[in-house]
Amino acid sequence: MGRKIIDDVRAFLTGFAGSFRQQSTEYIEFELRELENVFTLTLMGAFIGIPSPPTTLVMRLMPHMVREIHVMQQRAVDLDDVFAEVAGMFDID
Amino acid sequence: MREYLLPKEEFRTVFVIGKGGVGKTTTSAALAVALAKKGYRTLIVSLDPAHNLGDVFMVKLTDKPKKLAENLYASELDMEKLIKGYLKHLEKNLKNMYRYLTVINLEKYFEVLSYSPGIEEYATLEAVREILVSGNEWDVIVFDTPPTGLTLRVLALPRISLIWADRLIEIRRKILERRRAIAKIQGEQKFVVGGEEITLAKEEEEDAVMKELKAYRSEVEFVERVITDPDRTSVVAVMNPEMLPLYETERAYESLKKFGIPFNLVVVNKVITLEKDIPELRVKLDAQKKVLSGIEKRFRGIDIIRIPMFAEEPRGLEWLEKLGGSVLEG
Repeated sequence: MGRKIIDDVRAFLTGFAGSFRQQSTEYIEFELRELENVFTLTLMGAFIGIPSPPTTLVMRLMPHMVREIHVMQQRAVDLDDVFAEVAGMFDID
Repeated sequence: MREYLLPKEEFRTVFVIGKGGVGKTTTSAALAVALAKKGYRTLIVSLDPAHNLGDVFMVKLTDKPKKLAENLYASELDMEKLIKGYLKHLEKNLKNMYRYLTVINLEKYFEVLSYSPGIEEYATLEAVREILVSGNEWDVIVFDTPPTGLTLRVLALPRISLIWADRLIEIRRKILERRRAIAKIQGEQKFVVGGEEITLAKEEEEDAVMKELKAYRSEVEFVERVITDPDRTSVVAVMNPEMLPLYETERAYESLKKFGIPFNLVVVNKVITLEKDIPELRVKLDAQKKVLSGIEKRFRGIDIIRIPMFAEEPRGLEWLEKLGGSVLEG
């Protein structure tokens, strides 16, 4: 019986700490996504009409940018809901 | 002898620039022949997509240096081949990441990029870099360049590329900083794409993008260092005694100064000297006189030499040696 209680408390605390950890990095993760998005957009400037970095450089970087391009595309998909994302982050209902 | 055309501690790079049709190719060929005759191992490379270096030497040239005489080698860059080489390299990279392609459809991005503006300039810069990297094989490398506009853009590229690389490295650093911060709390971050799990790089040494950025930066920096070093690089401008080439040379002089590229010599080519008065040419001669006096004022402190208009086209090694001698010796 006593053991079960200890286990439950431990599970609760782990979950509690996990969610706390999750929350604590939420802002940094958001910032990271934005930076990755900006980085990719800068490389693809030609698509949105801003000056592009040297083509050679872009071509050399692209093969390593799978994640960043994925993030950029996801940002584009979520673009109509940026406000909701920010609101969610700051607990505004 | 003009010291700035001769190798000092390391090899000497000479860029011969000028408006189209003023005699860049002939001047650079002549200079190369004269240098080779003096015993310097000389390579002359034509960067102009519309090649005529081979016509001056009356031989067929390729992108591999061809021996024309003792100490004299020449080549013509094949732009189309260069750009194709680029695309091939790209294709190889694409195949390496083929498994992701179906997921995020990168092919389309690459397709557009390969036709992006400026690719010729970048390809030219890349070619110049490759020649400079193995520059120690030579004592002097003479570049016969495309008309001024394109050449100035190519010479300006290293500086501009360095700015880009620095800015991108800055953003990348911020990205990696955040990844490290997250990893400290949450542990290694994974990213799944196309059923493949990748661990996100968070250190500069393990991040492929950062490594590529730094490699690119150091490559460009090498070119920048060489072309801005007065002990290693000289620019020779060729012009005709006419107003438009004068304006263009002036503009080139100003932009090269801005980028810190040493500009040493103006060759005024095809100066007409007549023994008897020809009324039809009087206007032209007056204009020539005006330009010639203007040059002295505008390019103070820079060597200026005049090459007369010859009765026959300077072709063949003997002619070129004579002409080049006067450029080299002054």
